[in-house]
Amino acid sequence: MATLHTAKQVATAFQREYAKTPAKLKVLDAFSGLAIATALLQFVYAVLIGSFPFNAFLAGFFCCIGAFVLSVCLRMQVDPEDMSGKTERAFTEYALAMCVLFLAALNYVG
Amino acid sequence: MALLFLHIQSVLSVSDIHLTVEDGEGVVLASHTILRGATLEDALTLEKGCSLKASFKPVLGSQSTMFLPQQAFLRVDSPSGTATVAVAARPSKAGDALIATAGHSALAAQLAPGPTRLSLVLGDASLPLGLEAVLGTLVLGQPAPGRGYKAPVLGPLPEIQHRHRQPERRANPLAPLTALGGVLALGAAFLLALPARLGANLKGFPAGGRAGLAALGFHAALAATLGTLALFWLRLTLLQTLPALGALGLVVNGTGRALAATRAPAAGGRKKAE
Repeated sequence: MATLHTAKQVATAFQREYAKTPAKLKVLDAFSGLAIATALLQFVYAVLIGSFPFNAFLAGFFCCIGAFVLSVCLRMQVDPEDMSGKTERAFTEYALAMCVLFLAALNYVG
Repeated sequence: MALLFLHIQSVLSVSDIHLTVEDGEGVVLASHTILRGATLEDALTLEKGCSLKASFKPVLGSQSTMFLPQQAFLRVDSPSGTATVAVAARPSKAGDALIATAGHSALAAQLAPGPTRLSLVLGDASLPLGLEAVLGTLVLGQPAPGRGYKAPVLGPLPEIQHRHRQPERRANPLAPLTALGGVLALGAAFLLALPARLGANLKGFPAGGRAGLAALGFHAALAATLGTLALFWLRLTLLQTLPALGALGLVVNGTGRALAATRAPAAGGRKKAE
Protein backbone atom coordinates (compact mmCIF):
# COMPACT_ATOMS: atom_id res chain seq x y z
CA MET A 1 0.00 0.00 0.00
CA ALA A 2 2.79 2.33 0.97
CA THR A 3 4.62 1.39 -2.22
CA LEU A 4 1.57 2.25 -4.33
CA HIS A 5 1.23 5.58 -2.55
CA THR A 6 4.89 6.32 -3.14
CA ALA A 7 4.62 5.38 -6.81
CA LYS A 8 1.61 7.63 -7.19
CA GLN A 9 3.47 10.48 -5.56
CA VAL A 10 6.43 9.94 -7.88
CA ALA A 11 4.17 9.87 -10.95
CA THR A 12 2.37 13.05 -9.88
CA ALA A 13 5.63 14.86 -9.20
CA PHE A 14 7.07 13.71 -12.52
CA GLN A 15 3.96 14.92 -14.39
CA ARG A 16 4.09 18.26 -12.63
CA GLU A 17 7.76 18.86 -13.40
CA TYR A 18 7.58 17.47 -16.94
CA ALA A 19 4.88 20.02 -17.78
CA LYS A 20 7.56 22.69 -17.33
CA THR A 21 9.75 21.08 -20.00
CA PRO A 22 10.17 23.20 -23.15
CA ALA A 23 8.23 22.06 -26.22
CA LYS A 24 11.43 21.38 -28.18
CA LEU A 25 12.53 18.83 -25.62
CA LYS A 26 9.08 17.25 -25.57
CA VAL A 27 9.33 16.76 -29.33
CA LEU A 28 12.67 15.01 -28.88
CA ASP A 29 11.21 12.89 -26.09
CA ALA A 30 8.28 11.89 -28.32
CA PHE A 31 10.63 10.97 -31.18
CA SER A 32 12.81 8.92 -28.81
CA GLY A 33 9.70 7.11 -27.59
CA LEU A 34 8.69 6.45 -31.20
CA ALA A 35 12.13 4.97 -31.96
CA ILE A 36 12.03 2.70 -28.92
CA ALA A 37 8.46 1.61 -29.65
CA THR A 38 9.40 0.74 -33.24
CA ALA A 39 12.41 -1.24 -32.04
CA LEU A 40 10.23 -3.09 -29.53
CA LEU A 41 7.65 -3.86 -32.21
CA GLN A 42 10.35 -5.29 -34.47
CA PHE A 43 11.78 -7.38 -31.64
CA VAL A 44 8.38 -8.81 -30.73
CA TYR A 45 7.79 -9.64 -34.40
CA ALA A 46 11.14 -11.41 -34.62
CA VAL A 47 10.42 -13.46 -31.50
CA LEU A 48 6.85 -14.40 -32.46
CA ILE A 49 6.98 -14.73 -36.24
CA GLY A 50 10.64 -15.19 -37.08
CA SER A 51 13.75 -13.19 -37.88
CA PHE A 52 13.91 -14.00 -41.59
CA PRO A 53 15.62 -12.18 -43.27
CA PHE A 54 17.98 -11.70 -40.35
CA ASN A 55 19.99 -8.88 -41.89
CA ALA A 56 16.84 -6.83 -42.37
CA PHE A 57 15.85 -7.37 -38.73
CA LEU A 58 19.29 -6.31 -37.51
CA ALA A 59 19.28 -3.24 -39.74
CA GLY A 60 15.83 -2.12 -38.62
CA PHE A 61 16.35 -2.87 -34.95
CA PHE A 62 19.72 -1.20 -34.57
CA CYS A 63 18.62 1.76 -36.73
CA CYS A 64 15.85 2.42 -34.20
CA ILE A 65 18.20 1.98 -31.25
CA GLY A 66 20.74 4.28 -32.90
CA ALA A 67 18.10 6.92 -33.56
CA PHE A 68 17.06 6.73 -29.92
CA VAL A 69 20.62 7.13 -28.70
CA LEU A 70 21.31 10.09 -31.00
CA SER A 71 18.05 11.78 -29.97
CA VAL A 72 18.91 11.37 -26.29
CA CYS A 73 22.36 12.84 -26.93
CA LEU A 74 20.83 15.83 -28.72
CA ARG A 75 18.37 16.31 -25.86
CA MET A 76 21.20 16.35 -23.36
CA GLN A 77 23.03 18.98 -25.42
CA VAL A 78 20.08 21.33 -26.00
CA ASP A 79 18.62 21.11 -22.49
CA PRO A 80 18.47 24.75 -21.27
CA GLU A 81 19.37 23.69 -17.72
CA ASP A 82 22.45 21.82 -18.87
CA MET A 83 23.61 23.46 -22.07
CA SER A 84 27.17 22.49 -22.82
CA GLY A 85 27.52 23.98 -26.30
CA LYS A 86 25.78 25.69 -29.17
CA THR A 87 22.39 24.38 -30.19
CA GLU A 88 23.11 24.81 -33.89
CA ARG A 89 26.27 22.75 -33.72
CA ALA A 90 24.50 20.04 -31.75
CA PHE A 91 21.70 19.84 -34.30
CA THR A 92 24.19 19.74 -37.22
CA GLU A 93 26.04 16.87 -35.61
CA TYR A 94 22.71 15.14 -34.95
CA ALA A 95 21.61 15.49 -38.59
CA LEU A 96 24.96 14.24 -39.90
CA ALA A 97 25.00 11.27 -37.53
CA MET A 98 21.43 10.35 -38.46
CA CYS A 99 22.34 10.49 -42.17
CA VAL A 100 25.27 8.13 -41.61
CA LEU A 101 23.11 5.84 -39.47
CA PHE A 102 20.31 5.62 -42.04
CA LEU A 103 22.80 5.13 -44.86
CA ALA A 104 24.43 2.22 -43.04
CA ALA A 105 21.06 0.70 -42.11
CA LEU A 106 19.71 0.99 -45.64
CA ASN A 107 22.91 -0.53 -46.98
CA TYR A 108 22.50 -3.51 -44.68
CA VAL A 109 18.77 -4.06 -45.00
CA GLY A 110 19.21 -5.41 -48.49
CA MET B 1 36.14 -74.41 -56.65
CA ALA B 2 39.53 -73.16 -55.83
CA LEU B 3 40.00 -69.83 -54.18
CA LEU B 4 40.50 -67.38 -57.01
CA PHE B 5 43.93 -65.79 -56.81
CA LEU B 6 44.12 -62.75 -59.04
CA HIS B 7 47.79 -62.49 -58.25
CA ILE B 8 49.17 -66.04 -58.29
CA GLN B 9 52.41 -65.15 -56.61
CA SER B 10 50.80 -63.84 -53.42
CA VAL B 11 52.33 -65.24 -50.26
CA LEU B 12 49.37 -64.04 -48.24
CA SER B 13 46.43 -66.33 -47.65
CA VAL B 14 43.59 -66.68 -45.22
CA SER B 15 42.35 -69.41 -43.01
CA ASP B 16 38.76 -70.52 -43.08
CA ILE B 17 36.40 -67.59 -43.59
CA HIS B 18 33.30 -67.50 -41.42
CA LEU B 19 30.34 -65.58 -42.82
CA THR B 20 27.33 -64.88 -40.59
CA VAL B 21 24.15 -62.94 -41.26
CA GLU B 22 22.72 -61.29 -38.15
CA ASP B 23 19.55 -59.29 -37.63
CA GLY B 24 19.30 -55.98 -35.80
CA GLU B 25 19.35 -57.64 -32.35
CA GLY B 26 22.44 -59.73 -33.11
CA VAL B 27 20.55 -62.99 -33.65
CA VAL B 28 22.37 -65.17 -36.18
CA LEU B 29 20.09 -65.91 -39.13
CA ALA B 30 22.58 -67.79 -41.33
CA SER B 31 26.14 -68.99 -40.98
CA HIS B 32 28.57 -70.27 -43.57
CA THR B 33 32.17 -71.37 -43.41
CA ILE B 34 34.28 -71.11 -46.52
CA LEU B 35 37.08 -73.61 -46.30
CA ARG B 36 40.50 -72.64 -47.42
CA GLY B 37 40.48 -72.55 -51.18
CA ALA B 38 36.70 -72.67 -51.62
CA THR B 39 33.78 -70.30 -52.34
CA LEU B 40 30.15 -70.15 -51.34
CA GLU B 41 28.12 -72.88 -52.94
CA ASP B 42 24.82 -70.99 -52.66
CA ALA B 43 24.20 -67.27 -52.80
CA LEU B 44 24.06 -65.52 -49.45
CA THR B 45 21.01 -63.31 -48.86
CA LEU B 46 21.13 -60.08 -46.87
CA GLU B 47 17.72 -58.60 -46.09
CA LYS B 48 16.72 -55.20 -44.81
CA GLY B 49 17.88 -54.54 -41.22
CA CYS B 50 20.47 -57.34 -41.27
CA SER B 51 24.25 -57.22 -41.36
CA LEU B 52 26.90 -59.50 -42.79
CA LYS B 53 29.91 -60.31 -40.64
CA ALA B 54 33.05 -61.91 -42.08
CA SER B 55 35.68 -63.31 -39.76
CA PHE B 56 39.00 -64.59 -41.10
CA LYS B 57 42.62 -65.01 -40.16
CA PRO B 58 45.31 -63.85 -42.61
CA VAL B 59 48.47 -65.90 -42.56
CA LEU B 60 51.79 -65.34 -44.25
CA GLY B 61 53.25 -68.20 -46.24
CA SER B 62 53.16 -71.43 -44.28
CA GLN B 63 53.02 -69.82 -40.87
CA SER B 64 50.02 -70.47 -38.64
CA THR B 65 50.15 -67.24 -36.60
CA MET B 66 47.98 -64.32 -37.71
CA PHE B 67 49.53 -61.74 -39.95
CA LEU B 68 48.15 -58.20 -40.02
CA PRO B 69 48.22 -56.83 -43.57
CA GLN B 70 48.33 -53.12 -44.22
CA GLN B 71 44.68 -53.18 -45.22
CA ALA B 72 41.94 -55.73 -45.26
CA PHE B 73 38.55 -55.12 -46.87
CA LEU B 74 35.37 -57.03 -47.44
CA ARG B 75 34.30 -55.82 -50.84
CA VAL B 76 30.88 -55.93 -52.49
CA ASP B 77 30.69 -55.10 -56.20
CA SER B 78 27.71 -54.58 -58.46
CA PRO B 79 27.38 -57.10 -61.30
CA SER B 80 28.47 -54.50 -63.84
CA GLY B 81 31.40 -53.44 -61.69
CA THR B 82 30.42 -49.78 -61.74
CA ALA B 83 29.68 -49.54 -58.01
CA THR B 84 31.72 -50.88 -55.11
CA VAL B 85 31.39 -50.83 -51.35
CA ALA B 86 34.44 -51.77 -49.30
CA VAL B 87 34.23 -52.36 -45.56
CA ALA B 88 37.46 -52.31 -43.58
CA ALA B 89 38.23 -55.24 -41.29
CA ARG B 90 39.39 -54.66 -37.73
CA PRO B 91 41.10 -57.02 -35.28
CA SER B 92 38.79 -58.93 -32.97
CA LYS B 93 38.85 -58.37 -29.22
CA ALA B 94 40.87 -61.52 -28.70
CA GLY B 95 43.24 -60.46 -31.46
CA ASP B 96 43.10 -63.78 -33.23
CA ALA B 97 41.09 -62.80 -36.30
CA LEU B 98 40.01 -59.89 -38.46
CA ILE B 99 36.30 -59.02 -38.55
CA ALA B 100 34.49 -56.98 -41.22
CA THR B 101 30.83 -56.08 -40.74
CA ALA B 102 28.68 -54.69 -43.57
CA GLY B 103 25.14 -53.48 -42.82
CA HIS B 104 22.35 -53.82 -45.37
CA SER B 105 21.52 -50.12 -45.28
CA ALA B 106 25.12 -49.12 -46.07
CA LEU B 107 25.23 -51.53 -49.00
CA ALA B 108 21.74 -50.66 -50.28
CA ALA B 109 22.63 -46.96 -50.36
CA GLN B 110 25.29 -47.61 -52.99
CA LEU B 111 24.20 -50.80 -54.72
CA ALA B 112 21.00 -51.82 -56.41
CA PRO B 113 19.10 -54.74 -54.87
CA GLY B 114 19.88 -58.12 -56.35
CA PRO B 115 22.96 -60.29 -56.79
CA THR B 116 26.36 -58.76 -56.07
CA ARG B 117 29.88 -60.13 -55.96
CA LEU B 118 31.40 -60.67 -52.54
CA SER B 119 35.17 -60.69 -52.34
CA LEU B 120 38.04 -60.26 -49.91
CA VAL B 121 40.92 -57.84 -50.47
CA LEU B 122 44.06 -58.01 -48.36
CA GLY B 123 46.93 -55.60 -48.80
CA ASP B 124 47.75 -54.38 -52.29
CA ALA B 125 46.62 -57.01 -54.79
CA SER B 126 49.19 -55.82 -57.34
CA LEU B 127 52.06 -56.75 -55.04
CA PRO B 128 53.23 -60.18 -53.88
CA LEU B 129 51.95 -59.42 -50.40
CA GLY B 130 48.43 -58.79 -51.68
CA LEU B 131 45.41 -60.96 -52.11
CA GLU B 132 42.06 -60.53 -53.81
CA ALA B 133 39.69 -63.43 -53.64
CA VAL B 134 36.06 -63.80 -54.74
CA LEU B 135 34.01 -65.47 -52.04
CA GLY B 136 30.72 -65.86 -53.82
CA THR B 137 27.42 -64.13 -54.52
CA LEU B 138 25.62 -61.89 -52.05
CA VAL B 139 21.98 -61.08 -52.82
CA LEU B 140 20.88 -57.73 -51.43
CA GLY B 141 17.27 -57.51 -50.34
CA GLN B 142 14.98 -54.58 -51.04
CA PRO B 143 15.86 -51.52 -48.98
CA ALA B 144 13.55 -49.49 -46.74
CA PRO B 145 11.27 -47.09 -48.66
CA GLY B 146 13.11 -43.96 -49.70
CA ARG B 147 16.49 -45.21 -48.50
CA GLY B 148 17.64 -47.37 -51.34
CA TYR B 149 19.99 -46.80 -54.16
CA LYS B 150 18.63 -44.61 -56.90
CA ALA B 151 20.37 -45.08 -60.17
CA PRO B 152 21.17 -41.66 -61.51
CA VAL B 153 20.11 -41.06 -65.09
CA LEU B 154 22.12 -37.99 -65.81
CA GLY B 155 22.91 -36.81 -62.30
CA PRO B 156 25.90 -37.31 -60.00
CA LEU B 157 26.66 -40.54 -58.18
CA PRO B 158 25.04 -40.94 -54.72
CA GLU B 159 28.27 -40.37 -52.85
CA ILE B 160 28.67 -36.86 -54.27
CA GLN B 161 25.04 -35.71 -54.19
CA HIS B 162 24.72 -32.36 -52.49
CA ARG B 163 22.68 -31.92 -49.35
CA HIS B 164 21.14 -28.48 -49.20
CA ARG B 165 20.30 -26.74 -45.95
CA GLN B 166 16.61 -26.74 -45.12
CA PRO B 167 15.26 -23.26 -45.86
CA GLU B 168 14.14 -21.18 -42.90
CA ARG B 169 10.48 -21.11 -42.03
CA ARG B 170 8.66 -18.31 -43.86
CA ALA B 171 5.86 -16.42 -42.19
CA ASN B 172 2.36 -15.94 -43.55
CA PRO B 173 2.44 -12.75 -45.74
CA LEU B 174 -0.26 -11.28 -43.52
CA ALA B 175 2.09 -11.14 -40.52
CA PRO B 176 4.73 -8.77 -41.97
CA LEU B 177 2.01 -6.59 -43.50
CA THR B 178 0.33 -6.31 -40.11
CA ALA B 179 3.64 -5.42 -38.49
CA LEU B 180 4.25 -2.81 -41.20
CA GLY B 181 0.82 -1.36 -40.50
CA GLY B 182 1.70 -1.16 -36.81
CA VAL B 183 4.94 0.69 -37.51
CA LEU B 184 3.22 3.12 -39.89
CA ALA B 185 0.48 3.67 -37.33
CA LEU B 186 3.11 4.61 -34.75
CA GLY B 187 4.67 7.06 -37.19
CA ALA B 188 1.31 8.54 -38.12
CA ALA B 189 0.43 8.93 -34.44
CA PHE B 190 3.69 10.78 -33.90
CA LEU B 191 3.17 13.12 -36.84
CA LEU B 192 -0.51 13.80 -36.21
CA ALA B 193 -0.80 13.71 -32.43
CA LEU B 194 2.29 15.77 -31.76
CA PRO B 195 1.04 19.02 -33.32
CA ALA B 196 -2.32 18.47 -31.64
CA ARG B 197 -0.75 18.10 -28.18
CA LEU B 198 2.22 20.44 -28.38
CA GLY B 199 1.12 22.75 -31.14
CA ALA B 200 3.02 23.23 -34.37
CA ASN B 201 5.39 26.17 -34.53
CA LEU B 202 4.07 27.35 -37.87
CA LYS B 203 3.46 30.91 -36.71
CA GLY B 204 7.19 31.20 -36.09
CA PHE B 205 7.99 30.21 -39.70
CA PRO B 206 9.63 33.14 -41.56
CA ALA B 207 7.16 34.79 -43.91
CA GLY B 208 9.46 36.06 -46.62
CA GLY B 209 12.73 37.65 -47.48
CA ARG B 210 16.08 36.06 -46.83
CA ALA B 211 14.86 34.18 -43.76
CA GLY B 212 11.91 32.69 -45.61
CA LEU B 213 14.07 31.48 -48.48
CA ALA B 214 16.61 30.03 -46.08
CA ALA B 215 13.89 28.21 -44.14
CA LEU B 216 12.29 26.82 -47.31
CA GLY B 217 15.65 25.70 -48.67
CA PHE B 218 16.63 24.11 -45.36
CA HIS B 219 13.46 22.05 -45.05
CA ALA B 220 13.41 21.16 -48.76
CA ALA B 221 17.02 19.95 -48.56
CA LEU B 222 16.17 17.78 -45.54
CA ALA B 223 13.21 16.30 -47.41
CA ALA B 224 15.44 15.70 -50.45
CA THR B 225 17.95 13.90 -48.20
CA LEU B 226 15.24 11.55 -46.99
CA GLY B 227 14.09 11.03 -50.57
CA THR B 228 17.65 10.22 -51.65
CA LEU B 229 17.94 7.64 -48.91
CA ALA B 230 14.65 6.10 -50.07
CA LEU B 231 15.94 6.03 -53.66
CA PHE B 232 19.14 4.41 -52.41
CA TRP B 233 17.07 1.66 -50.86
CA LEU B 234 15.00 1.13 -54.00
CA ARG B 235 17.21 1.88 -56.98
CA LEU B 236 20.53 3.60 -56.52
CA THR B 237 23.92 2.20 -55.61
CA LEU B 238 26.15 3.55 -52.87
CA LEU B 239 28.46 5.29 -55.33
CA GLN B 240 25.48 7.08 -56.86
CA THR B 241 24.03 8.06 -53.49
CA LEU B 242 27.07 9.45 -51.72
CA PRO B 243 27.71 12.39 -54.12
CA ALA B 244 24.02 13.33 -53.96
CA LEU B 245 24.06 13.20 -50.18
CA GLY B 246 27.22 15.28 -50.14
CA ALA B 247 25.67 17.97 -52.33
CA LEU B 248 22.49 18.00 -50.27
CA GLY B 249 24.54 18.20 -47.11
CA LEU B 250 26.23 21.36 -48.38
CA VAL B 251 22.80 22.88 -49.14
CA VAL B 252 21.51 21.95 -45.68
CA ASN B 253 24.62 23.42 -44.09
CA GLY B 254 24.40 26.67 -46.03
CA THR B 255 20.68 27.25 -45.62
CA GLY B 256 20.81 26.17 -41.98
CA ARG B 257 23.54 28.70 -41.20
CA ALA B 258 21.65 31.42 -43.06
CA LEU B 259 18.47 30.60 -41.17
CA ALA B 260 20.28 30.53 -37.84
CA ALA B 261 21.88 33.88 -38.64
CA THR B 262 18.50 35.49 -39.28
CA ARG B 263 17.23 34.13 -35.97
CA ALA B 264 20.34 35.19 -34.04
CA PRO B 265 19.23 38.72 -33.08
CA ALA B 266 15.93 37.39 -31.66
CA ALA B 267 17.74 34.67 -29.76
CA GLY B 268 20.26 37.17 -28.40
CA GLY B 269 17.43 39.42 -27.17
CA ARG B 270 15.79 36.51 -25.31
CA LYS B 271 19.10 35.64 -23.66
CA LYS B 272 19.61 39.22 -22.54
CA ALA B 273 16.09 39.31 -21.16
CA GLU B 274 16.84 36.14 -19.14
